[in-house]
Amino acid sequence: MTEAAIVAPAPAPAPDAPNIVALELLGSGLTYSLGYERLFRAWSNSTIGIRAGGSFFTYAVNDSAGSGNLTILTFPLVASQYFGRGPHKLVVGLGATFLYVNASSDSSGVTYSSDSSGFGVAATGVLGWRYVPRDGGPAFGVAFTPMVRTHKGFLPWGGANVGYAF
Amino acid sequence: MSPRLSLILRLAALALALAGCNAVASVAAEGADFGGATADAHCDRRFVQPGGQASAFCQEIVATVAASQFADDCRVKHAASPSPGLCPRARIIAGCKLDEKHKDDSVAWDWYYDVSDLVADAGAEAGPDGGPTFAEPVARSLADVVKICADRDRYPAGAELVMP
Repeated sequence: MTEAAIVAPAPAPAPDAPNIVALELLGSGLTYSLGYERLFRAWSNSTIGIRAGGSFFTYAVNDSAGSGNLTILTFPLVASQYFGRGPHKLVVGLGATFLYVNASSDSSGVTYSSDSSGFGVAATGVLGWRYVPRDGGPAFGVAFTPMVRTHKGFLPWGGANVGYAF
Repeated sequence: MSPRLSLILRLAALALALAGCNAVASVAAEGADFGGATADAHCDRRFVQPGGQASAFCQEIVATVAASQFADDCRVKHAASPSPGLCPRARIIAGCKLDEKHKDDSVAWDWYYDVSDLVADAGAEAGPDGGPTFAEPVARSLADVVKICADRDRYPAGAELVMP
């Protein structure tokens, strides 16, 4: 046995720009989300990313005095695998989007909510393309981000993201 | 560029812009419904505040983002009784499903009731200033509801007869 054969391979170095902050329109945050993703080198040709994000949306559905806004908060949490050697990556991921919806109320204070209002969780997937420069810089992409939720079923959804890798 | 080609291009751009707006509204409505931001509401026009004119129907709207606005409109414009959920089903003769398109993809129904019991209790002229208790049209049979649904003055975008 040669000396080279018994030496354990050195761990793959971490990506040069392992942090990405990005704004995603639609996507796993439903309306939008602002997120942070940390990239880890999985093996020679692949990278794993863990992304956490959040969004806050409130809208005056009702213009009557004393009425309450519709408010939606989302918190997507997604683990993705990046394939590809260059900056153009195929992204495949799975995760969950935690939701909170406060339905709007009328001027007498009655809230018009559905069974799905309040706290909820949806499973989400990611299949898309992303440009991530090896040494950092602008990063962007588009993805199919379907969601599944109890009582609501399947939502064929998608999103576009733009951000910065560093 | 010829004037004809210019006109065609401008019309195509307008059509794309309109289709884009509709698509965005439709996507937003789908997302809102998935997130749980939509609700059902009804406006029972049979029961009104003093001085209001009652009508023999209840309007319900399903899966709307604007349920609270619908409720306040019901109270303010018609002096009627809004509530979450669907219209009461008891004593319904039939209904009209409105064909009009809403930006949030919600659907509205007008349900027409047999109000003979209410007229017997209140009298036929218990409306404002001694007028009729219930504004026309007052359905007494399925045939009446068929006629109401087909009335394009009442439903300019059309309406389909539906049974409860």
